[in-house]
Amino acid sequence: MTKLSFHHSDGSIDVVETDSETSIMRAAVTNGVRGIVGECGGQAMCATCHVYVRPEYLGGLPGIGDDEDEMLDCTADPRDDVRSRLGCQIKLGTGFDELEVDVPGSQV
Amino acid sequence: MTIGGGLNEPRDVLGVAVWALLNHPQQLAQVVADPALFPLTFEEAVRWVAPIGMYPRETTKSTVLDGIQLPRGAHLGVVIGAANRDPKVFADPESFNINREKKPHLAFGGGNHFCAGTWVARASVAGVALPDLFRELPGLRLDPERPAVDAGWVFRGMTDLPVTWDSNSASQLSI
Repeated sequence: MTKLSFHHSDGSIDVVETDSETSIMRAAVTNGVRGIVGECGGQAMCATCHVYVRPEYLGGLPGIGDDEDEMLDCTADPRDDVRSRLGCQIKLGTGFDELEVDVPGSQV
Repeated sequence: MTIGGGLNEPRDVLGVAVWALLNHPQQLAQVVADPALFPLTFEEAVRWVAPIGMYPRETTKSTVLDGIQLPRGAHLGVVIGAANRDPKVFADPESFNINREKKPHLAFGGGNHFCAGTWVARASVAGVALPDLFRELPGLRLDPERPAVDAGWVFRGMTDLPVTWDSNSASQLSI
């Protein structure tokens, strides 16, 4: 079971708990989390599932691939050199049981 | 696909964006004063008139889509042009308005076949072609004698876009 917390700029939090080995993006979209679009369906081609991972959770994540790195230069809200990730490139069930992210104010 | 998609759709969105701006002088004044708004112009142009208005798909398994039972192997025409003007999503959807609330549109499709040229198109049309055009051709305006024509529903764009501009600028044309 993975617990995901999506923090919104208005202070509200969406919590998703899932057994699925899906991605952060897919978990968010499936559960109707606001502010995560996933326009390209998880191909690392659109940068509309941008999230800012809270620092205490960065250690358990896989590295940033070349495609993700390029797309992170195209995010609607500014890229954070340390915390920005694409939700579609982080699979659940791989190295962390809990993750908290801040959802950017805009994705498009 | 790369060559065709690299030429036809950028051409169509460029034509539509120019036509729309020339028909909306206030919005044109806005983007000329602030070229950082050309990306917004681009996104609104592809929403308003998707360069590919319809594409075919085939169901790989039987499914229910919005209450409609679809058998496996059904041939579908996915009408992006209508989705991008869905009044449940976009306020006043028939209007071209670069100041509208930013929302995701489907002009580049979605899922596995999301347009591979999206970012090239954004860079080449919004980053280069549109700003260059309005900078190099001051006074660019629609020809009042000859109407512009937009056409097509699969591939949609301008088939005729007669324009004029201030003649003394023609010799400075460098693009």
